[in-house]
Amino acid sequence: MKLLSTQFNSRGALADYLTDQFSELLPADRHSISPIIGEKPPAQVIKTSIQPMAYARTRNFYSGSVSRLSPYIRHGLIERRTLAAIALAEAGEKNSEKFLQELLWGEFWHQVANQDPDLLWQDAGDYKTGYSTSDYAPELPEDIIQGHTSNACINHFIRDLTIDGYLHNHARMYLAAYVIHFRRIRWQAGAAWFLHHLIDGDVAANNLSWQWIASTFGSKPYIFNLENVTKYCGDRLDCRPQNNLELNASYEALSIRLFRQSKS
Amino acid sequence: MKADIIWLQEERLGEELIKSIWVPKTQLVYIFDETWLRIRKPSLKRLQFIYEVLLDLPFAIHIYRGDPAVILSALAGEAGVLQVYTFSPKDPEMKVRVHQIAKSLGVQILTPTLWIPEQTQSYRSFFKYYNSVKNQAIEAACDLPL
Repeated sequence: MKLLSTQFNSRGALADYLTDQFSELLPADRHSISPIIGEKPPAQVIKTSIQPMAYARTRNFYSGSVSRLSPYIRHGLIERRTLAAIALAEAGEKNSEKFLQELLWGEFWHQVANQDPDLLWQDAGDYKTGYSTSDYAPELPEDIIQGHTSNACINHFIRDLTIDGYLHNHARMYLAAYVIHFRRIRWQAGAAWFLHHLIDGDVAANNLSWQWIASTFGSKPYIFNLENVTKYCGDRLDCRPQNNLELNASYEALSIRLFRQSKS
Repeated sequence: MKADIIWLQEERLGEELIKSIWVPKTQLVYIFDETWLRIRKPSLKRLQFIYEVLLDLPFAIHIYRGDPAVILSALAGEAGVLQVYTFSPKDPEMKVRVHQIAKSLGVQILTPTLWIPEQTQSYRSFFKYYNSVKNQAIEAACDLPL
């Protein structure tokens, strides 16, 4: 039983204290203080973060109009219902639908997880990739953990995850699909990695989304190619083909490369 | 309702929720659960975020690291403590752990009002779920004062 200090004169001093107090948990994490601060944003900031119509148009773009309030939702500082109320008042029911759906995805994942908690870490079904669970590696390789893969945009996403503790939702899907399908690693390893880093990490939404990408909680695997990343992230990331060789292929070619083809 | 100790959970750190049961002299306690830390292995970023939220609350708070059962037993044994309260976590795994500890110590578990009550029907498709709860979600949101 240890009573911890509550007096710090800076974020850096708090980080140093936590690094010292939790040293055995933080071997590779010592210098990553997130820019996301643990303080509830003022009401006006919350209100201006909710742009339902812009959200509907641009949410899939890396620089799109997403609220970035998920860390505060995760810790109970802001309620999803309150954000829905702001959106409905701002834009009306029809124009808020995509935003409302996004809020309700979180409720949906909790509904599924509460009804069957085994789905949090066990495959909900088989992989629909032609491979079985035993074909997937149980651990992440070091180049992924360190963000030194052969693909610049993937490394950028890993930097967001490990330094900021926040990742745009589309980037989460890209990175999860890269880990599972391009590198053939079990979704559980990636899900635990995300939960370790993401400040908004929620086991139900995180793990069931990983299962959906993997195809164990869905009818087909989710994959992407460089053309898709360029469309949604090209204005912010290095999407040059020579720096993203693994991703630079058509969907047809990727399906042949990444999945075991059934013999007909 | 009088609350002598409120044992805070990481998903339930909203000021309004705490205020709903807080009275003067209430002791707020947060515990970095040793077992939970070993299960989830949170990064420094996650620990720091929670810590900053705790320090930003407009209440005096005691932050511990250790076994919640041991710490709460010791605190509850102190003179003047009548009842320990906590809010039920959303995380299904955390909920099991917190409820086990709470049951063994007689901690009263409070469940905050849900936006969407849990459905009896089992859903595997989001859009089936969405179509089923959409009107309920909008009504509940529209009832909130802004």
